[in-house]
Amino acid sequence: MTEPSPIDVFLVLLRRSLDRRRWLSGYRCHRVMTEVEDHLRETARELQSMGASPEEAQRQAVERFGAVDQIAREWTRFDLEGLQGLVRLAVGFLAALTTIAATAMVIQTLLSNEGTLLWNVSRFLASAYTVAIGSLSIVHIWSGRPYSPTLAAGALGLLVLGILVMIRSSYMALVGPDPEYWIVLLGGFMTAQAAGILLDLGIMKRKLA
Amino acid sequence: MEGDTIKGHLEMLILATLEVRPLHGYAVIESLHRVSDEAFDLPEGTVYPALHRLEREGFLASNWTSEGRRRRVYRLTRSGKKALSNQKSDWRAFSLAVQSVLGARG
Repeated sequence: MTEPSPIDVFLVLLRRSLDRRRWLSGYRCHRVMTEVEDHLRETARELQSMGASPEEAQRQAVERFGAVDQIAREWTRFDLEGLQGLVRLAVGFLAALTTIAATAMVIQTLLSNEGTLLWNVSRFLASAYTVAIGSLSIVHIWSGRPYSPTLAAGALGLLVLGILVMIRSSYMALVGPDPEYWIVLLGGFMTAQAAGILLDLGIMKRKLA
Repeated sequence: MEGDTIKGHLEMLILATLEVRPLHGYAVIESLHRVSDEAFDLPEGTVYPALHRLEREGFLASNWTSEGRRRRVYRLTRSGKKALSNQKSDWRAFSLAVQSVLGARG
């Protein structure tokens, strides 16, 4: 039985490595493998035309291409960036939804005559803050800028706020009006913001490490 | 020049290489070697993730060509041209600043 050539061995190892990349699609893997094989064989052909033996030409072509581990690391980075793009898209979508909900809350607050002036001002400021963070998140995401921990914290707050609104609305629909509605909502929002800031600090710490 | 030095500028170099004409991956690397007079000692395999990344960002477009062997040919898009133009300006400003500092020290 003949031994597999250096290029064949490299391609098998790379294929195995790419198969482990969870977010790399089958089509992407196929495309990468086609391009890499073409590249290696072209390099080997060129080296052979310069006088290298077929075995030596293949060995050098593989060597010039780089170690499988190194190449796999590059594809992992590519993978993670793709995942971050998806997360950004999802966060953008949720931020858009919650911004619409928060805008409705601002309007409701402005139209409402209930409560003290201080209470209404607090509600308005909290809602306006929500709208501002949501709008900033959307602008940030659609402008394609790199991932921002600060906006992620705001977006996480918005996400939790949105979930709280849904839960609270369902509760009110099933059980009846709840006078603590706004307090619970604002409490949830502040908790979410606190969680977001903690996450923010964690991310920054990891980046600085 | 070692890989780490080039890595931060690899994407700009690829865009500049493709500014001249559309090329497949192997030809991009060959052109980088030739134009730089073999100055860039970069593992060739790291160029492909960079090409795919630039395509995902919309700076490059690609298609399979059926002339001879089946190959993926990359070309610069309009936003790629714009990005390259911005990167060139940034690079010139940076290079000038470094030269000024080195000149002042030298």
